Amino acid sequence: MKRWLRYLLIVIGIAVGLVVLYFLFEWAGDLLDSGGAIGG
Amino acid sequence: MKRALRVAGFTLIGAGGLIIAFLIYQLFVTDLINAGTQARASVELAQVLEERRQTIAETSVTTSTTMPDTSTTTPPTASLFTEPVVAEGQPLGSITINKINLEAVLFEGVDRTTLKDGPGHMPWTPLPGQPGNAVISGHRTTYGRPFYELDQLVVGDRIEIETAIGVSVYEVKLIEVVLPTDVYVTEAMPGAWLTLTTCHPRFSAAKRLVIQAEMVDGPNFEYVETLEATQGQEAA
Repeated sequence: MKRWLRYLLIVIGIAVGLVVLYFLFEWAGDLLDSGGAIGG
Repeated sequence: MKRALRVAGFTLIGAGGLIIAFLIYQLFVTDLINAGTQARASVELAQVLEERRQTIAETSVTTSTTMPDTSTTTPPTASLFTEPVVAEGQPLGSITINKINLEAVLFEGVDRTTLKDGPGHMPWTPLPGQPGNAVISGHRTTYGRPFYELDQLVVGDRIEIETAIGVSVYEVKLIEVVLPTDVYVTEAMPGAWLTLTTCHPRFSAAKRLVIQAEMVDGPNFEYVETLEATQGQEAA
């Protein structure tokens, strides 16, 4: 595999990982503090 | 065996790192995000309130109280100061609780996005300062944690809410812990009430801490007093 392609895949992997992590943290954050609304 | 131990070790280190990153994000990064939003919103709020006050003045605002049957009771003479509805996600006013050093911009709406910006007003309840039960929810431990110390309030403490009609002052009357599904705390009540809700206990969304406060001063205080007196006379 060409070097530039490998770097590109690593960058894309990190970006996807960060996005997944963000949504995971947001979901888990709701267990700590969902905002306090009633009925929600 | 050795390899399995190494894999397990790295997995545990990775999991630990994730948990630490999660806590840093929730307890510090969300506060930073909220601080920026609140700073921008407080500048915007001054302008928004000014515009809303002009709108109120232009549309002649004070409405005389009318009661269904005035033949047996004294008609109220106080005026009701109303204000236009605010779009969801927009700044609505500010909330101040001196006892817990809270001063925050209040937004319209209780959806997840709005509550990240600051305490939010439940849109299907009356606006703060109006007769009825105005409900405001806020984060307890993340996103600026506006209601972190809400449990420090006791009966008699004061809560001030500023909206376009002016500053309304409420006095805490009731403190309770309920389930997130206990919507009865949002139901209408006679007089003018403010209900604050937040997660309880800290760092858990299992229950809700509810503070209910009654209006003791403000632009519509006289109207509410008169209305209650009239309704009391009618009931008697």
